Amino acid sequence: VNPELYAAVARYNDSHPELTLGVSVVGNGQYVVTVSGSLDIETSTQVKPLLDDIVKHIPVAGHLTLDLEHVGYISSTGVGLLTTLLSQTRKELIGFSLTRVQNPVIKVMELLGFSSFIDLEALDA
Amino acid sequence: MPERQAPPHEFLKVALDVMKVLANDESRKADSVAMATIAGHFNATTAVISKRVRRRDLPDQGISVSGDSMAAGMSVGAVCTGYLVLNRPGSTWSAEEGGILLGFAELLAPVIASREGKRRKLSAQKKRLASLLLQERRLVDLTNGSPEMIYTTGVDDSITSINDAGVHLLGYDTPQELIGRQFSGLALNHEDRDYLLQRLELKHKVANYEIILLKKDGSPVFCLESTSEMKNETGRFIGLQGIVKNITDRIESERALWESNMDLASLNQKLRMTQEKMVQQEKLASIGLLAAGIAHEINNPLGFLKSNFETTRLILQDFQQFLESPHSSGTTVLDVNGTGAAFLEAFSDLDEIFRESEDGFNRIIRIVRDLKSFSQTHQVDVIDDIDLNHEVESAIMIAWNEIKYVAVVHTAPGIIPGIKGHKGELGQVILNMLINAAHAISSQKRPEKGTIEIQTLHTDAFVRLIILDDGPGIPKDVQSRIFDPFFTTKEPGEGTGLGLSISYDIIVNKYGGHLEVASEPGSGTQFTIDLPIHPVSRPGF
Repeated sequence: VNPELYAAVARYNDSHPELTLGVSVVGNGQYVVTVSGSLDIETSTQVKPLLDDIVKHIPVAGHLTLDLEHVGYISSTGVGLLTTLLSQTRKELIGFSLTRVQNPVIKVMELLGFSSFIDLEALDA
Repeated sequence: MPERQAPPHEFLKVALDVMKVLANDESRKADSVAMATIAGHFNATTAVISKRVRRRDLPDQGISVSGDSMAAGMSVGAVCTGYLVLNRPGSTWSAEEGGILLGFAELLAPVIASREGKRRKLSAQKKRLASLLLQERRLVDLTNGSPEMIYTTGVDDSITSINDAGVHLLGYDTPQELIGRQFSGLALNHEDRDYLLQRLELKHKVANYEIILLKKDGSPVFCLESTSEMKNETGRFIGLQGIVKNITDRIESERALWESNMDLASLNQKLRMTQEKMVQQEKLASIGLLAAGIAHEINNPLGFLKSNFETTRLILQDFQQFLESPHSSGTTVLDVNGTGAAFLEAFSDLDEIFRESEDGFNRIIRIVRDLKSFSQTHQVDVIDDIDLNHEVESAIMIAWNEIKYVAVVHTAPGIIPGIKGHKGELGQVILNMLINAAHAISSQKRPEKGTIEIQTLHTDAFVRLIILDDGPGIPKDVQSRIFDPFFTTKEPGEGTGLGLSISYDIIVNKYGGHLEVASEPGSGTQFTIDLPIHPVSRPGF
């Protein structure tokens, strides 16, 4: 991970314990972001600039995977954040996927129609 | 009027009667001040047995005393707290009477004060109760008049009250249907309610928490909830109170906006992909033109080289015949010089050299021809007759340099009908497949060569081409993405990730055929291409 990005993530995590991120690069432009906490109206708004920054570091034809194993609650603002990310990555020709999504979160995403935009990999799949 | 003084015990009796009346008069709503007046035959002037009584504290009307006191010819005007005021019109009190009255007053004062205290306390309680009742009524009116759902729960999070708006929001008929039920049972995810309770434990109140509730008929309602803990006067937690706002309409609007944004993003993506593809295809076309030019330039010298080669071979054949032909003496030139054996050996070598050279010339000519065929830019309205077996041979020839060091190629050409299409495009697809197979095998860096098997066959309305390699295979998690534009597993600079995407576009979108992959990691990969014998006419085909 780019040192500046790594430092930005560390700073964010220190000041926002309600929702923390872990970033790793597993291959050529393949970014995996581990999300821990709840994606509510407050945390979603706070974390958005950092996620935007992460997307900017991913090269064209790269891929962003959000690991949501440790996200137990999501609000419509949280789903809106993911929709924005999906839209942004598509524009930049970057792949985007969600992995290990908890069932309560999947239910909310399905109700909000987000699952029609992207395949969701459930935690217990 | 003769003055008659009542004996002291009569004063006491009258006073006790007064107190008895006052003590039992629960209905009396006197102010905090009262006065007793003893009138009648005493003809007394007013005697104030208190230094602190004030005239303005005295009530306007007194109270009546009956029974023995009336018999004694006295009446009570009023009583004030702790003080007794007696009137005797026309005369003054004697010292003895004054002493009795003072003692009497001291005796009565705490009794009257106690009674009055109780009365005041009761009065204050009644006022407070009335105020509380008023507040409660206002609260009930406010709660039931609210357009938002308002509810309370007990310590176990079961519903203890819910207003009309809440009952309506959840699609029930009466509050009784909801009271006693666990609140989490109303949520789409009971985990979401648990999460709210956890936050309440930490912060004691939570504002704007989004939760999806289920109506009686099971349909979802998107809600925004603000909740706080309720505590009793000792600070003990006794439950929750919350206000819930229905935000389903807002969510629907947001969802419509997301859909619009996603449509826009998809269009942007397609536009950018098309641009990238055009750039790449432009590059390929440039390379193709370059290759065609080079092939043309090679073709010319190749023509006269081949011609000269043939001429040289014919001359040498003539020369060999001359040398081997016997002269009139019956001997040959070779016999005369004694060099016959050496010359014959040299001619034998030349035969071999000519055969190899001819083979080389033929291969160069075929490569140049295939390269010209492959690199030609097709015209949209010109459709070629294509022999797929021939295109496979041409592609192998062009890719041979990539293949020959890493794999052995086995071909099994079937008896197949010709198809219609553009040779260049189809050649590009087959070339992509072959080079991918060669690179996959090469990536294993194994000591022995791998195998590429190519088969063509006729299946119903299609001509099928199968290209199978015994390389490392494709991991399961990326198999669904290999036809995505820009997807590559190669190192940066080694692949654009467009080869399979363009191939898919040509076979599926332009030819109306099928392109499928089957791969078992560790065992190899098979690409199957089905091309329609009679393709449906498509734009650009």
